[in-house]
Amino acid sequence: MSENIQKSSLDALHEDRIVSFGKFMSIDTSRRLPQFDNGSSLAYHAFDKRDKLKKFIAIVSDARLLPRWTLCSAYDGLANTSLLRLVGSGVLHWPLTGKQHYVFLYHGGLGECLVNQGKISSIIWRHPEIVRYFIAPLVNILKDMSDKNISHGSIRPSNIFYAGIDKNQPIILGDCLSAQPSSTQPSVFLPIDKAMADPLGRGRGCILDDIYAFGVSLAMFLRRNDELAKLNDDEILRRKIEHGSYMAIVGAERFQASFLELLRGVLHDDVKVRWNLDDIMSWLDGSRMTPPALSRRKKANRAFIFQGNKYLFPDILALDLQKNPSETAKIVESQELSQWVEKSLSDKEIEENYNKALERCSSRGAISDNKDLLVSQLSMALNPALPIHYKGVNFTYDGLGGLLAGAAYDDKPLSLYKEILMLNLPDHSVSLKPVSQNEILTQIKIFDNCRAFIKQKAQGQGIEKCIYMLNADAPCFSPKFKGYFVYNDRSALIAFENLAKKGKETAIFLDSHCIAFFAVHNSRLIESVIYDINSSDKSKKIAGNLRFMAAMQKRAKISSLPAIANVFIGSLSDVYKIYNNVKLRKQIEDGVKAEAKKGNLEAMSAYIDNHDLRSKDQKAFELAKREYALLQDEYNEYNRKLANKKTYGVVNGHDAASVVSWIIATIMTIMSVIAFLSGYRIF
Amino acid sequence: MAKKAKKLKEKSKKGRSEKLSLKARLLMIFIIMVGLVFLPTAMLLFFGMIPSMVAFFIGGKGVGARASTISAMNLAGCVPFIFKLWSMGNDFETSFNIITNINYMAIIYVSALFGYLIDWVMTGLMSSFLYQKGINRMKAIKKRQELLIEQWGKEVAGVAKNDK
Repeated sequence: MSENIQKSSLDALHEDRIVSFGKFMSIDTSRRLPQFDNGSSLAYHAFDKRDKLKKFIAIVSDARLLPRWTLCSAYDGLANTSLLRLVGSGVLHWPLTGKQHYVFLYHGGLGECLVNQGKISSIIWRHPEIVRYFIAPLVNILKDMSDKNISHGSIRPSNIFYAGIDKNQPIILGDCLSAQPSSTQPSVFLPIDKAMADPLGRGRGCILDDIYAFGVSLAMFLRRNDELAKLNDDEILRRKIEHGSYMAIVGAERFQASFLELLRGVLHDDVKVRWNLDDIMSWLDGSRMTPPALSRRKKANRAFIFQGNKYLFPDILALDLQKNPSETAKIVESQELSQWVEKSLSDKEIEENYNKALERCSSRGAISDNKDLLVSQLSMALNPALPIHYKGVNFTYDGLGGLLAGAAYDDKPLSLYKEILMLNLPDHSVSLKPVSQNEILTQIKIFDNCRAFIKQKAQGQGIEKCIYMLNADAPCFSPKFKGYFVYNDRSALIAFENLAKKGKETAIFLDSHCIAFFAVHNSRLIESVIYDINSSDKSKKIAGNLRFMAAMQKRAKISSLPAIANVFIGSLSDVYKIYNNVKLRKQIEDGVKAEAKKGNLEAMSAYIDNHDLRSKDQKAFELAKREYALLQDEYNEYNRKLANKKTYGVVNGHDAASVVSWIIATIMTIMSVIAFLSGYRIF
Repeated sequence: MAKKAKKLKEKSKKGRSEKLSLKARLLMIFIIMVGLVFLPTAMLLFFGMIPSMVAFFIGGKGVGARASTISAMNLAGCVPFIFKLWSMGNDFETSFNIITNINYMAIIYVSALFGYLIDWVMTGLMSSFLYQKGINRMKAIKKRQELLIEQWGKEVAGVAKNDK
């Protein structure tokens, strides 16, 4: 269904305010549905052309938020009535921005959101209703999504909706596809590490993050006062670090004991102790659960004084070290911090991490020359829960891809991210996280691959490949595709066709970004042409481009691409020279031109890449070359011999004269013998 | 190694020429023996065949073939006088008479001259014919090469595509 819409979306019509989406759907650009917005992905009213009473929600995603188009089919397969039902998705030219956007179309007709951001819920449900209409449906959604390995990443009261005007029915959870997990979440809904990371650097998301967001959402739904209203995000975060998320969120609110038990479980900062879905299910089934004890923070027996502030806890110190790299270098060089870690903190693990961090920094040169690296390493060592902090960017170990894609989208230099990878910062971070050994090894392998790509100079390697390798949802960020959302063969071909129509293309369509994108999303196809595409021979490069485009045309099932074909026709003159026979070359050229008029790249490529014909042509050419060389030798020999006309053929002449002479002499002798025998005297 | 091979080659060549000279020497001995047995005939042949001997000893390219041409006609000129000698007793006197007869010797030497003429005419004719044949072959080669270039481009002649 979504694929059909995606195909027909290309034919989107623009009639004033109404934009067609697929065959039957229309989006009204003048009717916003702000309650369904997901960050900067904006929601609009959509309707079925056949039945305008049927309401739909179209979320026009912001490409910078990296809409999760790779999840559409998995999401479509979720048979959960408490999830927004996806009707279709695809790329659409959005008249309000003049750019292509990825659009998600959901069933509409929902009620208002549960709680508006920063407000108190108006509805007062009792315990059974809260469980039946809010907790159970949400937990079921999380279970279904967890089974399909999907993280929602946008669970918050403002994205949870009543199913209709009648509020006494299970809630509906809003959109999660139009943005990367957690990228649009207010930081209060995020665990400490994610909350501190930049929006796109919050990683892939996981079920434990969703459980945490569910806990915060439940607390906000249940609360009757907003204690956090007077605090900004940094203060909330500091409170979470100092007192734990549970204490920071629940505070002095008075909730029913059973809810407190649930909240204490799902809001635990230690992911190893945080309740999982099975624990919540058991709680729903009425089992008495022992709420996990609040984690004890490591406390030093002597305060460390930094910038005039006293620090007893290394996790808080780690936060403030990030703000003062120069001062941090000083306290490290003066051994003050080392002594405090060793003597006052008395924590073997932190001490070991601290020493390793210092070793890594000193291996790169003087500490004072590597302040950013020092701060990054020390903050990870003193508080492993923190995200990676380096030169002003904050991200989790699996959030580098999102951050990198965001930088590529913004046309920012990517050298910082190369540096981060080459300094092994994500590797060090993941090794300090409470994740499985398997996850650590998998991640380190991915980062190793990225470092290998960075070292390679060929087109399609480098940091560009890391973008697509680390974030599967990243569309192609080729500068050619500004204003386009290219995420698969079809969208790439249509973008190229449009560019070719505008005369903005040369026959070398694929640039580094395109090659890197398709190397990740369609590796087999790109491998078959990568040698030619990276060749220094321009004709080989063009032939490789044509072959690639032809293969894409076949996969995308687009029958005609005349503008692209036209661009190739203008540049293939050297490519035909792969055939040696002039007549055959002309035939191929005529055939290619005929197919170009039809826009059939596949047939054009087949003409040029006819291996049997090329092999026969090559063999015949070799024979012709050999014949030419032999003829030339013979010609040179004649030329040499005939240079002296006087002597040429003299030897043969003497021989012939000798033969003739002997014949005549023999005849004469026979005649003399006959005369002698017959008694006739000649003399 | 190469020097050794060269030495061996030279040695074998030398051996072959020595063998030939031995053969020639044996032939010479045989001829002398025959000449001693048939001395009047040998004497006639010796004086009659002087043009052939001159042709053999005068150097130049194709001397063997030319001498052979002259010898054939020279010998054909001697044959009637050998028969004459034999018919008149094959003695020294008859042989001497023939040798000293200026008309007879003129006939023998003119026949040798005729051999020289054959050589001169045939060499000229053959040379012109072969020269023309060579020119025609060269033209045919050029034509075929042009056809190959027409069919395969200049690359067939070993010209790189970029050199065009």
